[in-house]
Amino acid sequence: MREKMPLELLLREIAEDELAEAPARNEVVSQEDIGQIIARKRANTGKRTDEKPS
Amino acid sequence: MADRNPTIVVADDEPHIRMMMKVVLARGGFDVVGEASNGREAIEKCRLLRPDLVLLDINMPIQNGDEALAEILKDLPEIAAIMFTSVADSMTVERCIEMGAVNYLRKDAPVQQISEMVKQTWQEWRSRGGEP
Repeated sequence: MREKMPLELLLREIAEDELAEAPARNEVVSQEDIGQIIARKRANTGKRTDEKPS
Repeated sequence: MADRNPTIVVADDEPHIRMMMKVVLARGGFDVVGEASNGREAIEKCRLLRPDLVLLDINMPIQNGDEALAEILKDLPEIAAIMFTSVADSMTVERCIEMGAVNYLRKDAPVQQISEMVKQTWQEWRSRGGEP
């Protein structure tokens, strides 16, 4: 099991503060949800994330 | 690509976040070649340094990270742009991915996970032929 780093605790604290202050404009999504959104976008639209740049 | 560490520019208006990500990314095998404290600076650093990746916060002064994303990818589509932010609403995530971001990481993810996701994103980007 990985040992918790002070840096991680600091980052988490900052991020939680920012998330708490963020306006609830839309549904807040988890990291897992974000992965699903990206996969869906790639599958549906074939955007840059699936393309080889010219 | 030559056998070298991938290079990355870190853009965040919080100095301690930049400092922390430099440590985390260096441990993960990345060379942090530049830092930016706002979107405009991120664009300038990317144009100047031509990194393999850029890590972009969204809420930054002068120019937001999503605005910077559009400008960076307009000029430098070979850069793998990763959003790294506390803005985690679905609309913003979708918009950034549609604009060309290759991944979108929440800042409150565990540090080890962040490092692994950046590495994974880079490997996938390269495997899709994204390397310059």
